[in-house]
Amino acid sequence: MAFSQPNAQRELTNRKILEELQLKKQLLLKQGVASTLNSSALPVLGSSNIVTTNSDGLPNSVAANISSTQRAALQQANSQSMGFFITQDSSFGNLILPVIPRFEPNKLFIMFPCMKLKHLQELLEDVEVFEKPKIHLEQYVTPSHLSSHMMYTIQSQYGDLKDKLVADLGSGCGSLSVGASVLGAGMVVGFEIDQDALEIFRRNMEDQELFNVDVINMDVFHIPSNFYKQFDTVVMNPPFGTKYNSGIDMQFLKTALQLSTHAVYSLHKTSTRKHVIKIAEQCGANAEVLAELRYDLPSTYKFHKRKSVDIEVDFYRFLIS
Amino acid sequence: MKLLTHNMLTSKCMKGVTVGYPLKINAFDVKVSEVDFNPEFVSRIIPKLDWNVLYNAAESIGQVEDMPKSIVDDYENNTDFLKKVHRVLLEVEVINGELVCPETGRKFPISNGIPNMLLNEDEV
Repeated sequence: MAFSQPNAQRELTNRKILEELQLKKQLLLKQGVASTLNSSALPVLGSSNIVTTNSDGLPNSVAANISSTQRAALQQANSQSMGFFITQDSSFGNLILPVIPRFEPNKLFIMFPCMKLKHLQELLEDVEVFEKPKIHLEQYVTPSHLSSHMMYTIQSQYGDLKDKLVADLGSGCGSLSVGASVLGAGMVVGFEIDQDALEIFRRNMEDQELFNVDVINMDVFHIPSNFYKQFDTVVMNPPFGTKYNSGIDMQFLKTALQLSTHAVYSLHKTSTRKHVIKIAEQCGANAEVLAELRYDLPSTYKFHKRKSVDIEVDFYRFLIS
Repeated sequence: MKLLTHNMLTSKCMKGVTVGYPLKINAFDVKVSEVDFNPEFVSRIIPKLDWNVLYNAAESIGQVEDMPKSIVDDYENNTDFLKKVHRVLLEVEVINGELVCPETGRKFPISNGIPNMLLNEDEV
């Protein structure tokens, strides 16, 4: 927080924030969705963040550890205000602290028509995946809870799938393409180098009866310039460029930014964030991290000694200016 | 392979090829499958297309039907026209066949609806 502001100015800012929140609250009440917001402050992706709540609307783990005075303060705050509160003690002796959500307020509220997340996830669970992942291509399966959250966010928050021409780079078995198609894309074009993956891709589209999807057997690095600036939206889960393909993720990104006229959605390792943002800027795009994810890689390959490896991954939106 | 995809495909990435466009289609097996008609989408795609290439491609595989030879005026509000374009762009599909580079004659097979545009190392 910025404590350097003069008091009066800070107060003005605070008032503005409060007014904005109040406005959003009224908007939400009208839409009848406010009740779902109190217990889930952030649209966090990934399964590790599920918090069960008890009858007070408090996370169970929290409820067990707080004193009765804190509980009373928290209940009162929750009933009288629409903000979010945590019970953490502060050095000033407060029982509870208000938490300002990290997302920009208007984002959650401008919703685009979208299928229910649960339904989307069920559809993506049915997508057939690699039989024998190939190490030199860094073939990893995108877990369905992750791909469904990604695609759901792209459509529900940004409306970047419905009626759009969408490219899926390194489309693999097609889980992102299926997601784009069922969320209303005008057409999806997948690009994939591996013929075994393509065969599964084709079967997936047939099984799900998706007829507005095409796929090309092509090396992403040989996509001719005729495709540049043809697509509205590019989605991809590129190779992370870890083992033998160092730098390949950035080559995917550069290609994606050339294909799209508007936005690119992608996953990259959190450890490379500075670099990713720099590359995006060089390509004239603005990078925004929408969510930090734990990408649970089952031990796909023999060199993974442990049963599963969590790697930290950022879910990005690149806006082309 | 749909004709919308064909409209963007070239063999330009091959060594010695300057334009590589449009690729000639030899179709052995063509399927027309129903795709939801989305007039907004088709209207938005039309200005991006190389119309002559689309028309000639459709004609070469016997699927042009009564789609006009040039884009009609005020097409955004012409549902009849948009439906014809929709059919050619999205519903017509080459399942088996080949694409031929106009400069080198190199053939790119299409099987199970998927064009194989992979190049050999000595072609890049």
